[in-house]
Amino acid sequence: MKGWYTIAVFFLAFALQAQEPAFYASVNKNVMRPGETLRLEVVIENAPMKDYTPPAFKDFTVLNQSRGTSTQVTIVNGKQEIVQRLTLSYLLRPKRKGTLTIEPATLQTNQGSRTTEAITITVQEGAAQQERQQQSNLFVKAYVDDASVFVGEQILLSYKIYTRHNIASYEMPNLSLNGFWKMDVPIRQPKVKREIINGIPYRTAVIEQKVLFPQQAGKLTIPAGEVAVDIEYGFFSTRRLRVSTNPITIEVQSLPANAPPSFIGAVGRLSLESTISADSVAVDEAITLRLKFSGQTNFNLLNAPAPQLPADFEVYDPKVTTDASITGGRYVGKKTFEYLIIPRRPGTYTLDSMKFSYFHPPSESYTTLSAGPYTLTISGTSEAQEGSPTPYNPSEVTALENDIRFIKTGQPPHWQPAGYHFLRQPLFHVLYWGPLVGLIVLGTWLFFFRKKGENEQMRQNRALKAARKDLKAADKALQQNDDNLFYQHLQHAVWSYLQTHFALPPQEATKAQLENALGERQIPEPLIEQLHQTLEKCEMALYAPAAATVEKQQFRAEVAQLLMKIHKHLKA
Amino acid sequence: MRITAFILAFLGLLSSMAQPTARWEEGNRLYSAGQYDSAIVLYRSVLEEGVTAAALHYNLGNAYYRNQQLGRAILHYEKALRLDPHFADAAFNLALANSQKADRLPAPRQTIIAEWWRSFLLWLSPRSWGLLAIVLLWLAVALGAIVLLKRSAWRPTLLVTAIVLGFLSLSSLYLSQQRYRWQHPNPAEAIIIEPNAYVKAAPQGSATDLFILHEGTKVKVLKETSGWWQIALPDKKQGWIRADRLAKV
Repeated sequence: MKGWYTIAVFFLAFALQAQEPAFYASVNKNVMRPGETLRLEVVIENAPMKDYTPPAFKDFTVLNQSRGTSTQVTIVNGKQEIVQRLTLSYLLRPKRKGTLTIEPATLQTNQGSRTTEAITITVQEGAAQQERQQQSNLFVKAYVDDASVFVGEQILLSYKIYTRHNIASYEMPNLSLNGFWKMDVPIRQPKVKREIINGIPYRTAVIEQKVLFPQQAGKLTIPAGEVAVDIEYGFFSTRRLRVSTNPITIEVQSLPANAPPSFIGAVGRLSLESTISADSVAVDEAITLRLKFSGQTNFNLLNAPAPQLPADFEVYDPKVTTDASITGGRYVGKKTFEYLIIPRRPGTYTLDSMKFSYFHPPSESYTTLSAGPYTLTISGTSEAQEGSPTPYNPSEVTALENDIRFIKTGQPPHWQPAGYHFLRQPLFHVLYWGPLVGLIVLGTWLFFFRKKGENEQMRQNRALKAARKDLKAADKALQQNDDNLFYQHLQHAVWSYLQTHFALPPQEATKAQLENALGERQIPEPLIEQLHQTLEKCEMALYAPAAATVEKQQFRAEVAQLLMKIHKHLKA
Repeated sequence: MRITAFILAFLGLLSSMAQPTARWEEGNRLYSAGQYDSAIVLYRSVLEEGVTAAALHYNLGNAYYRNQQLGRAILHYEKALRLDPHFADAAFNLALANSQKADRLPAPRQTIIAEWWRSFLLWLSPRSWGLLAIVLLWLAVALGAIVLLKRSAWRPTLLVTAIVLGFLSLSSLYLSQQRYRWQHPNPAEAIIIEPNAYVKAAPQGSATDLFILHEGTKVKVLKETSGWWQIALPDKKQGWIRADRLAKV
């Protein structure tokens, strides 16, 4: 039974908190038939009645005029307030039909001149007159504090009743407020005030208030509704009247497009306060991160940014506490998000500053709040490092039961300089490149200084070879009985052998030179003598063949023998 | 006077030679007594003198392990294995320590040929490969000299043998260099030695956090700028870490 409020008594007595001077006029009715009378009351409160000018009654006849004074004492919050009231009453009769005006009255006070408002009186004939009178005696007005807002910005919708009846109860309609997030403002005891509209004093009260948050842009309508009001009618009986409320159109603008990335929909005015329970804990010890938003926004839809922490932390869903209420027509309060964070590994971690943005409608801009950053130092060792089996990796459990092997002791190790590189040691270069260089030097020396490529031994062998060749040729000549050729070959055998042996140029060699060279080599004298004789024999046979009495076969053997002997001696 | 100075210098040389061993033995004694942090100080003082040994890094790794500094323990086991790849105890302790680190990264895949090549390379130390190269070269040079000096029927055979030996010597030289490169790879490898390290997108404290590494994780160091190292993971992830968070193997 939403919207039902029983207010049997609240209109019967109304208090005025006027300490200040007040000056107003009221009539008992503003719609009347011709010939009826009308009572006008001009009230002066808390002011002396000097320089008072009554209204000019152009269209009315003043039938009677009276004055009365009263003193009202009220105690509000322990403070006494006294209201001195002077009431001037006029009984009036309209002079004609139509729309008539009661002109304002004027009063000079210490604060200046004051006037009452002009009152319009309708004088006419008609059956509906009574009904009109009753309708104008009761109506409900709907109004908002702001008809042009942004999406998510708060609107306060109020319904005010104006009555001249005593109201027993009323029933608000269930309005369908599409496009709005709505919250009812609780009204325990409607505050009754007096308002004069067109001369008629009404008792007024705000009977219903809603805080609305438009959720979409565009033209949104708060529809008209029908309020059912039971008015007191006679003794202990009521009569139900139905009054319509006016519809209201709200212009809702969408939010500007330049929203920062941390904007997640909050509109209003907020401040952020963050606290952390500890920034230096052991592994598995809980940390509480508290983000407190306070201010004015739609707290029902307010979400907090989640703390961005690495996987080494477990972050649980936050515990959310909202402490917000509608005060003075605004939805204000605070909302707290408490994150429970449990570190699982040691180390130093950074909890980056958490950014939160909201849209501030009066300045039409986004404001960014931030919390943190925090540096978290986690000490101790995680469970896995202590050797307890981890639930994800059972295959490691067996290995973890082992322990490291013991250190090396006893024999001192072979110390070596750090960064030792054998290939860069001078010793290596000497040992490696030395022999190679030696080989190259040897080859070069052989190439340049002994370019014949022939050593003594080889030359000796060559000399002997040549001598043998000559002896063979001599044998051939002997078989052919060519004596001249025979001796030539034998001579050549001796000469060429010795020339080759001593590496003498063939043309330059003389007998004496050869004998000299042989003597230097310590060849025995008889052998040299024999050589000398042999060569002479050859020459004799060649140049004076008639005188030659030589056994050719024997001579050849002698020459061979001689050469072998010399060869032996030279080799030794 | 001069003799005294000479003797003093000699004694100083002797004591400086003896110091690493003395400190090593004292460190071992402290380790056995359970004073791991003191043992660490002594072991480190030996290293700071520019002297190294596989057993020293192994013992230091053990002391760090006992002192709950997993990252540094892994670092020194790795160093011990670099100096002596056949150090079975170090390999065992490294595997044990690696099984306890927080980050699980995929192991880089090795082909059978690469594995075979690696074990062949690690068969000898860089120094031994170098010595082998020297011996082979000497043999080649000796044969070469014979070829130059003696003319005989064996000459062509000797020449071919000398060339083959020379080629083998050069190969040993190459292997020695490669073995040294294995010990000092490029890009260098480094181990995270602090409990955790933020890997940033740029060498600035304000740069975006890409991911977090934990102690004991091995990375490759691609680039070094003042205070920051660019690192890469086996799965090609890259980023920048503050240089005091990790140490090179």
